[in-house]
Amino acid sequence: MLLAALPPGARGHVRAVGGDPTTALRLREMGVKPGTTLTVTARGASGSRIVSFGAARLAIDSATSALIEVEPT
Amino acid sequence: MTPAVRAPEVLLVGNPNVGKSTLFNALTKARQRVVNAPGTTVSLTAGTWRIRGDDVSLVDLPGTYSLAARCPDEQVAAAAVANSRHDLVVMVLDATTLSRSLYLLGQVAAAGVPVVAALTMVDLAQARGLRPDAGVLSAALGVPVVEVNGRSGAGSADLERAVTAALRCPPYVRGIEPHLYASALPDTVASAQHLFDWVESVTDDAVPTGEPHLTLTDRLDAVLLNPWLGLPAFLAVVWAVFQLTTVVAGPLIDAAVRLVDGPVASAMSSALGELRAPDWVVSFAVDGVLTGVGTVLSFVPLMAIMFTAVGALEGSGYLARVAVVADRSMRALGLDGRAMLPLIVGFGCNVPALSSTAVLPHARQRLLTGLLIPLTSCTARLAVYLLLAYTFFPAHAGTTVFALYVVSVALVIGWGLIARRTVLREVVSEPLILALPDYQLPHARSLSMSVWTRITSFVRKAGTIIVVAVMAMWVLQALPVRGDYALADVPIAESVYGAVADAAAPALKPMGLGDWKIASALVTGVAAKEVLIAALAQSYAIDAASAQTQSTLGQKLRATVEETSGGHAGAAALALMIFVLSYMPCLPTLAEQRRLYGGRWTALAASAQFIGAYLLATLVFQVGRLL
Repeated sequence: MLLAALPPGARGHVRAVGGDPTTALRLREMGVKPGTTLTVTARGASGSRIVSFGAARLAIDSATSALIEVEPT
Repeated sequence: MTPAVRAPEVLLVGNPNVGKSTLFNALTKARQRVVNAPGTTVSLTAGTWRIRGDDVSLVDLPGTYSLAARCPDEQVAAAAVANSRHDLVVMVLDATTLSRSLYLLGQVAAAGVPVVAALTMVDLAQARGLRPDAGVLSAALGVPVVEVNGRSGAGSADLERAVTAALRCPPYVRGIEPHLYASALPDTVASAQHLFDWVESVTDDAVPTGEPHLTLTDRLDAVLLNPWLGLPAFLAVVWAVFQLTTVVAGPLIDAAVRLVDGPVASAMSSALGELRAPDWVVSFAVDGVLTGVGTVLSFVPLMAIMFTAVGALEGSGYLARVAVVADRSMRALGLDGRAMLPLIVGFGCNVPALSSTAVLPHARQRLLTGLLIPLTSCTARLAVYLLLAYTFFPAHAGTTVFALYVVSVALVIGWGLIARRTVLREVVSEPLILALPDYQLPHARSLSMSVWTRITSFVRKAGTIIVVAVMAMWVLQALPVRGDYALADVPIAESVYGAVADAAAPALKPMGLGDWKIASALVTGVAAKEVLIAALAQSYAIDAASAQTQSTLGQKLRATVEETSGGHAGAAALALMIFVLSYMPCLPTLAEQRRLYGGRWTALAASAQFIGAYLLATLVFQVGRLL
């Protein structure tokens, strides 16, 4: 399942991160990597996802959140 | 002769929104100044940190996640870390997002520079139940880690001790080989794997694992980022900022102008009178120098309010949410959602709008936004539209003015797209992957310090240009070219200024406006759009002396335009409004652009804008008169 499809309140383990190398590196720098457990705390404008993991919060637009494959937990 | 001992130079490095600038303000107090990074439009704040009587030069680098130098701000940070002039890096580590901070620390360490770490946001990490252990962190990193709080000043003394010791005996980060990335920093996940592994090995020990507690931030975000409520909330904030720049700043500006025009001007005149100064000296001092100083002063309250408002929005953490809410609409221009704020503020006044671009994260985005701001139609231009609309289209004045605002928005979009395809090709829309900091109350002392630093920078740099330009204008108006007039006692038509306007008037013929009075008003309008009407009235007042009838400014203008447009006054009036909308930013805007982006960008943008306005106004008149 893709992060873009994960509803607010749901949690998921990141399984894979796709996209071009720059985007993938930026996501990795911000802490999104296979194994991270994300919680979708809110849905933002235009289908973006607000996720939290650890004490960090991140906004990810809808196109980018469709690059992140998650396994709902 | 002994060489002067150089103060040690310390760089403050960290991610954006980690409390770096708050810490900087707490350490340097008021001893700071804004400087431009060499060869760039990126401005840095440098300050003096006094540690037990010894001065340390502290430079606050732009917040960045990486030294990979993907944008000018990162390049500035990377170049500063790489050059060997500094003695130490104080690395600000955010306790809530430690792995992000450590990734940057790893890159700093790979550059082979000594480091002391300052751990911020410890209280926020604790609130989420995930407080890192500074002792374990320090042991894992091999460098001192000091818990600090820039807001309360707690930990500053510990940091001073650690820095003093580190300047004597430089500590290096353990586990990262110096000059690891001597050729190029990693640009893929695979090539950075070594760094990520190191980060994980450090965080595994230092950060507790477990579920974060939900905090107030999560509850606020559910509302402020909500697809339905987020936009109205943002518009309410924008409206409030707009009100501040118009309603609250208005009386303060009036007071500043009244003070300068009234008591100060008369005191200056009488003082110069006592000294038996010639009339032209009095006029130069009062109408030239003092008017220029008054113009600068009148902007100070506006700038202070604007800096405070956007600083508070940034410090509270809300601005990062604006980026999310307005992301889609600004993306077409390659801009961050946060660029929406300066562009909207521009409709109030362009000058504070330019200042508010400081909150945009990338230098190229600040530049593009700053070059587009003059196209947002400020309230000073509204006064001109109203006069023209009521004079030429009394039945459709409201619609006419509304149409001009639509044109203004279209110009912003059009020029934005043109700029991105030509001179600013490197502005590309990046995917939105944005860290959302915790909401916090803005820190008043830190905020007021940065407002003060920015205001003094504006007065010193932009202010000087404004005063000199107003003085130059006075000289042109004071020098007679014809007739038997004394210096500084000459009707505008007979001055050098009038002669220039007369010479420029034929250039306005293609838009049906070939008249020296209109040309003269347009030239004066460059000083400030609000004096455009006054300049027009002044020119007509001179004409009125010879005229038989006493009619209002509108009627006189109408008569002039009927004549210059060959009976197509409506088309010419529309052309004039379009031209006024975008022909040239006002002087304070130009001065502020020059301060922020340099003379070349300012000149390029102003010329492009002028040519565009000229062509558009000509098109409007030529098409309009056929209809």
